[in-house]
Parts: sequence; structure tokens; C-alpha cells
Amino acid sequence: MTFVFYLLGFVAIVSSICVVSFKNPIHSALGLVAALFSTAGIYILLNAEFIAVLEVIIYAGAIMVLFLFVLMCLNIRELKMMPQFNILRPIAIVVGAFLLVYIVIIIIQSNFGNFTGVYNEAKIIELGGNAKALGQVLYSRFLLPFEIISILLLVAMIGAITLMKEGLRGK
Amino acid sequence: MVLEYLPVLILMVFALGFAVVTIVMSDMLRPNKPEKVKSSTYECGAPLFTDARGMVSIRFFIISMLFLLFDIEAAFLYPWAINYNVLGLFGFVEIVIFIIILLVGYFYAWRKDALEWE
Amino acid sequence: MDGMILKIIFILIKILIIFGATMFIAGWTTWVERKIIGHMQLRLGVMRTGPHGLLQPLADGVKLFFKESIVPEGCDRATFELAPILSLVPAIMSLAIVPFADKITIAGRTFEPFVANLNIGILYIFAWSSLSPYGLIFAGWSSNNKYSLLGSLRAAALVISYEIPFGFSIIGVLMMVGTMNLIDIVHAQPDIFHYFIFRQPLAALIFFISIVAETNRCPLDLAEAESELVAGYFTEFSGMRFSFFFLAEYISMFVIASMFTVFFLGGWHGPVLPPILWFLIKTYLIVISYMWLRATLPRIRYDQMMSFCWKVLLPLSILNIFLTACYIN
Repeated sequence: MTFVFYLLGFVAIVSSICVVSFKNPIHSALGLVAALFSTAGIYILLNAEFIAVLEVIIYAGAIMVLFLFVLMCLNIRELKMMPQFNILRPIAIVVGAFLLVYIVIIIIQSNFGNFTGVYNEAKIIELGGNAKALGQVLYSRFLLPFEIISILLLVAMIGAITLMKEGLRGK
Repeated sequence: MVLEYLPVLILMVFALGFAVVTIVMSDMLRPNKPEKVKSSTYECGAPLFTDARGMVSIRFFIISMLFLLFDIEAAFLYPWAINYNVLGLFGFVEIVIFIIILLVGYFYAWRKDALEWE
Repeated sequence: MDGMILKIIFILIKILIIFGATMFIAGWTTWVERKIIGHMQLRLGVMRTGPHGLLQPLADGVKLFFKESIVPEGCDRATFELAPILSLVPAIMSLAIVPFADKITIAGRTFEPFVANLNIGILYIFAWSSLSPYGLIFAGWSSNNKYSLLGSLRAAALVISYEIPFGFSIIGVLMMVGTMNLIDIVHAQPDIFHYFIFRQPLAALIFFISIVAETNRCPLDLAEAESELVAGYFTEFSGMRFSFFFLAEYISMFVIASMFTVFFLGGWHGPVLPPILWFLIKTYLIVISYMWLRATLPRIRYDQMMSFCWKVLLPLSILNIFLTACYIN
């Protein structure tokens, strides 16, 4: 099991590096799909199978398809490197270094595996699996965030249609 | 419970191996005589005259955006559906509110002709 | 560690058997299709290779294996190589959860004739079938051919649109059963009066229409339309790569038909014959009704297909959820 975890982690890291370093954006999108798959595998190892399968369905199956449609319309053959000296590059390096240090500090300070909640592994299996346990918690304790999510989706729908109506009228 | 996924992992290795091995074997065993005419893209016998990219209609974006949003809605409906007896009437009212809010968006899309033509 | 290796070998043998059987069924289905469509059109169909053309799938396979694979110029080599694999691997992976029967007893030992029994059941199939647009998109795009690109984009848009009624229509059955585990769903339909096709007729109809579109079958297959668009998105693929697309279509047709059997036709339950035979018979009935549709109905125009999905199937499937809730109470 540890071997599978290291393998998945390795694939995730390599494909993430591929995403930012490939020149053709379609290849980057493929790398992102590979990264999402390995993350879903890691979720399965954590007994969160429902989250894993949702990640594949929604992220790799819907969001990345949207990305690909956009990429194909933009018709980018190959991204060109920016000119040699550019004021943005040192700023980007500094911000990236800050972010990296911050993430490392968070990881060091957290305690893995010592969760003290009600829903540990035994209780989840007793409730009937990850999906059932998630459903029972989501629709009772987290009712308000759930309804707010529906309003968020509504806003996204209206926003997308409004933006695209502009494009349609422009044609 | 994680051990149930071991067959899935083995099947993935097997499927990838089968696909790659078959293509490689087929490539080794088939004739390979590339010629200029064979390699040019097919356009009813006439030589290619425009670039193939850059002709995507905007309808595709609307469809994929709407698909994304309804996919997320379906993802929220699944845990509710399997807990239907546990969540009872209260859960049902919650989901009705959720679905009605999303149906508002759906009818807006219908009125604005976002669902037309493709 | 020793027990683990033995378990892995056992799983590998089971995978080989199930995969081999499915390949055989997929190949044989091409023969059945040509014969059925032929007879429905008052002609004989395939007759030459072997008795009544039974060896035709074998001949096709051998031909495609040795055919020259022409790579068009200007294509994107990575996606060109990846597209057939991205089409075939999800189809094979979705085989893992098809429950051929509850258990088989051979010579006193019980085996479980499925690769895995996951708690997330149908969502696993949903996940792999939501990857099917990738094979289509990359096939069309990498060929640098405007017909392929157009065909693949329209096919992808059609497939993703019909995934929504596909997802919504099952929710009624899930509400009645309370779990997504496929074995438990079949156990909830012990005899013919309990089959979900009678308790959820609207959902069964919506599911059936969505799966015809998902697998790009006639009458909803404008993207693959053989008489238009020059075979659509796989115009530029030849040889084994082309056969991968076809294999993927027939395997996913079989798998999704078996999902219809599990959800609405009671899985492997039946009076006299062994359960696995009942399962195969019911699934094959659905597959034959696919072919019946293909022989009978004309192809539907693309914008009519999309309007039908978004304006008719989607509200109907949501209505089905409300109706099921009222029915249960």
C-alpha cells in the first residue's frame, strides 16, 4: 500500500511539472488530467472513494473538457517564451518562494493521523461507506453551505450565459 | 475497503499494457511505406486549402458550461438519494430548494436561447 | 506476502477470463449486427467467410492488425498516438464492475464472477464514461483535418449533453434501494414484479435513450455518420488504431447495456437457467434492441438531438425524481 502511495505521488509530481513546462498547451492539459487521476488514486487510499470518483467525474470529466474546448478554439500552436529580461520574472520567483515556504510551514505544523472527530474509519464503515456518511453529514449539519452552493451555481450559470450572449451577438 | 480496489489497479495495468503492446506489435508487423500523397490530409481528393483550427463556434462553450453545472448538481444529488430514508421530509425539502434554484438558472438559459441550435 | 501474490494471480486469471469473454462478445456482436440489420432489410448480410459469415470478425481483426497505419502530416504526434488508447482504456476499465452473477459454484468451490464489487457502483462507470469525450476530441484534433475536428467536437458535445439525463435517471432507483452497490441493487429485485422497469418506467426510458447517445449509436450518431463527414472523427486513423475505436464502442455498448440490466431488468435473476446465463441473455436483448433501432430509425438531425436532450430529457428526469419521492411516501 505504501508502494502504491509513493507511485501515485511520483506520478502526481511529475505530471504537475509537465503541466507547467510543456510548450504545447494541449499537452499541458493532458498532464493535468494525469495529475488529477493520481490525486484521485490517493483519495482512494485514504478510504474516500466517493471523493475520488467525484474528482474524476467533475474535474477530469467536465472541467478539463471545458479547458480543452477553449484551447482548441484559441488555436495556440506553441507557447513562446517571454523575452529574456522582464520585470515580472523576479517578482514571480519571490512570490513563488514565499508560497513554498508557507506550504512547508503548514505541513510541518499539522498533525497527521490524529483526528479527533466523530467520523473515524470504523464509524464510516458502520454507516455504510463514504458516500452515505458524507450524505448524512452534508444535509444535516452543513445545510446552509449546501444551499449557498446552489446559489453559487446559479450565479455561475447566469454569468456564463450573459458573457456568451455578448459573443453571440458579436458574430 | 481499500483492498477492493486492488483488482481495479491490476485491470488498469493490464488494459494499458494490452493497448500499448497491441499497437507496438501491429506497428512492427505492418508495411510502412510513407508517400507524400498518402500522408496528406483527406479533403475529397482536393489539396488542403485552409488551416483546420480556429473555427469552433461559441455554442460549444455554452454547452460545456451548462454540462459542468448540471454535473455538479447531479453529484450533490447522489449522496442525498442513497440517504433518502434517513433524511426524510426535511432532506427532501432541502433538495427541492436546491433543485428549484438551479431550475431558475435552467429556465433563464432557455429564455435566453442558450439551448438552441446545438 | 505469499497469500498476497496468490491473490494477485487469482485476480489476474479472473481478469483474463472476463476480458477474453468480453472481447469475444464484442467481436461476435459485430457479426450479429450485420446479420440482424441485413435480415431486417430483407437481405442476407455477411455470408462468405465461414458458415454464414461467422468468421468475419476474425477476418476483420486480422486485416486491421496488418494494415498500414498512415500518419497524416502536420498532426500532433503525441495526441495522435494517445487518442485510441484514451478511447479503449476507459471502456476496458468499466468492465471491472459488471456483476455477471452473485457467485458461481463449480465443483464445490464458489467464485465471484466480477472483478470488483465497489461501494460506489454506478459512479465508477459514470467516471470512466465521462472520459470518453477525450478520445473523441483528441482523435479529431490531432488529425489536422477539418472534417475530423468538426465531427469530434460535435460528438463530444453530444456525449457530454446526454451524460446529464444518464446521471439523473438513476437517482430514482437509488432512492428506492438506498445504496449504490450494484450487487445490492440486483438483490432489491428478486422477482419479475419487483423489476425496476415496472416501478420506474420513466427513468428506464430516459436511461435507455441516454445510453444510445452515449455510445454514439444510430439514431443518435451524427458525429460518426458514415454517409456524411466521411466517417467523422476517425477519418485519419487506419489499422489497429481504428480498430481500438471500434472495440471501445462495442465494449462500452456491452457494459452500459449490462448496467441497464442491473438497474432495471433484475440482473441475473431468473427461473431455470444459471444466473450468469440470464444476465448475458438480458444484456444481449438490450444490445439487440440497439441494433433494431439502428435498422429502423433514420438519423436525427444534430440540433434536434441537442434540443431533445436539453429541453425534454433533462426536465423529465428531474420530474422523475419528484415523482419517485411522492411514490415512496
